[in-house]
Amino acid sequence: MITKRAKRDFISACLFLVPALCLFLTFKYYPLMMTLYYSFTNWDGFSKAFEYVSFDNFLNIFHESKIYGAFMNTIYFAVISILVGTAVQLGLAIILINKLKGNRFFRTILYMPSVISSLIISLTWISFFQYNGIINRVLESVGLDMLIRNWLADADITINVLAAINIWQWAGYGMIIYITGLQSIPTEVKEAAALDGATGWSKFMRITLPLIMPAVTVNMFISITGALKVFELPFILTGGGPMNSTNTVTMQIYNTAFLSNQFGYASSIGLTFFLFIAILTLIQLRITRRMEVEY
Amino acid sequence: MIRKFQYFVLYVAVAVISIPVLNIVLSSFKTNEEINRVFTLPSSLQFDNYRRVFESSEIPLNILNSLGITGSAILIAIFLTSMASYTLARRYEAFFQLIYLLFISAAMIPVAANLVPLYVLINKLGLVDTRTAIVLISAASAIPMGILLYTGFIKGIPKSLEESASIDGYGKISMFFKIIFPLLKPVTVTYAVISSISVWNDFLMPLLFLRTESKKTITLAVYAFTSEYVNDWGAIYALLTIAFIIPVLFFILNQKHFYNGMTDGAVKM
Repeated sequence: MITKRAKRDFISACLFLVPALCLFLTFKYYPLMMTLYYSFTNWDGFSKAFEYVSFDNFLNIFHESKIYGAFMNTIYFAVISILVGTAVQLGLAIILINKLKGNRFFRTILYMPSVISSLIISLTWISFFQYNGIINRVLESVGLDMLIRNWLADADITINVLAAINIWQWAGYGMIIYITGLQSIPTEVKEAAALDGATGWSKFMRITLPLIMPAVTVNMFISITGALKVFELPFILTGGGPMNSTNTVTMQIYNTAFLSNQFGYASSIGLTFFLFIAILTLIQLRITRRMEVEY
Repeated sequence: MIRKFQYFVLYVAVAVISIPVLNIVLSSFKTNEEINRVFTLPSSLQFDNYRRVFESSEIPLNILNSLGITGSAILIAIFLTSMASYTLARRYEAFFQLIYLLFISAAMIPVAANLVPLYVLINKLGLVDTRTAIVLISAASAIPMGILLYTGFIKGIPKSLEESASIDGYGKISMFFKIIFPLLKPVTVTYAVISSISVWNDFLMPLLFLRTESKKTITLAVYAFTSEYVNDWGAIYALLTIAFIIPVLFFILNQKHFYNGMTDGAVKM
């Protein structure tokens, strides 16, 4: 009798999973399997017939400088966004953890850009960064003409402009996660650290940072996956230019599939991209998890 | 001294964040000649730009589409993930742990990696240029976050509650809907609030699948409008103001849930 009941329980437990699993397998894992399948073909998206081309697509990825460049641009964009972004977010969080007047107001304003679509954010910044835009005009009017740049059409700096906008958008979001982390540090630990004479930089490096590592882990995960997927910023602001310097992987996949109709090739870039993100985030989770301490 | 420095940093940050946004709002009231003069106030409060936006586009319809798509996707996601999480939180067998991992690890699959097969799949299902396509894809994308939030929350509900309900003769399904689901309200609200923003803001999926003007979401409509009325910056600014004021108001009214979502879901990852 008991086994019969256990069996019934098991079946009803599974039934609760089925609807979610169906939707999820159909729109997440089935496409991933198909990406794997298409990536070994030369399908153009329309023809009924296509051929198995073994690893040709993958070999091409590393030989075609535009695609190789897209990976490099995306990595560069992510690294700048994460390094500078973390410094900004953590800095703001450390200030706002103090009981300052207007705390709520500051949090609200700083968080705001992260609820707005990146598409709208990109359009918002056009009027600032275009050549006869607000930034250059302000520079001119204060006599800093030598700083005037073609912000959106200079192969050396445009990717940095995009990273800056990304950092601007997500500063408040990461800040809130760090505030949560900072608030969870027990007061006894802070008092003990103060008694031992820990102050300033050494207190931050030896006490605060290890204790907020869980927040760092989460934040890094969100920033890495978010920054690597960037699409709207280059799509709107630069179209991938100048000289492909802001061409990102997501844009490259979109263009390869829907502009050049190379569905098979686009799939192999997509699969490489997935493996790349998976490996990178797993390494990151291992490293930051190991730095977490117990208290 | 340190206090003053901290306030200084905060005010600079607030200025940097709000100047671009204020520029949009101010410019939306300027005539196209005035827009070239930055940092000036509009000569008079005129709504001409807004009138042009409403005349030359189907913005009210696009906003309704976004509301409908976001609402449906989130409702589906709430229903599916709360049920699945009930099993995942209560069963400890390796099989269920594996399914939990299957759900959570999908957060690493970038949409771009699946772009081609998604397009083929939606085509095969006959869902190209339908809002249903966006609803299904968005609901599926919202699942990992929901599983994470609900499973954590349900683990905190004492099992004794279900034991006594089962003595009272509740079956599994009625127990879930009558006893457990009402208890999940706080986490449901948090989940609905934070996931709706990402569904609302999505651009790539609508761009890929929606063609007809009257079916487009607001984000896609903004894109279509800016590529058509390239030189009418007054109208573009008015449209941008309309487009971002909705999520911003939504955020201001639901702030608490955004912050709670971070502490409940994200940090316990």
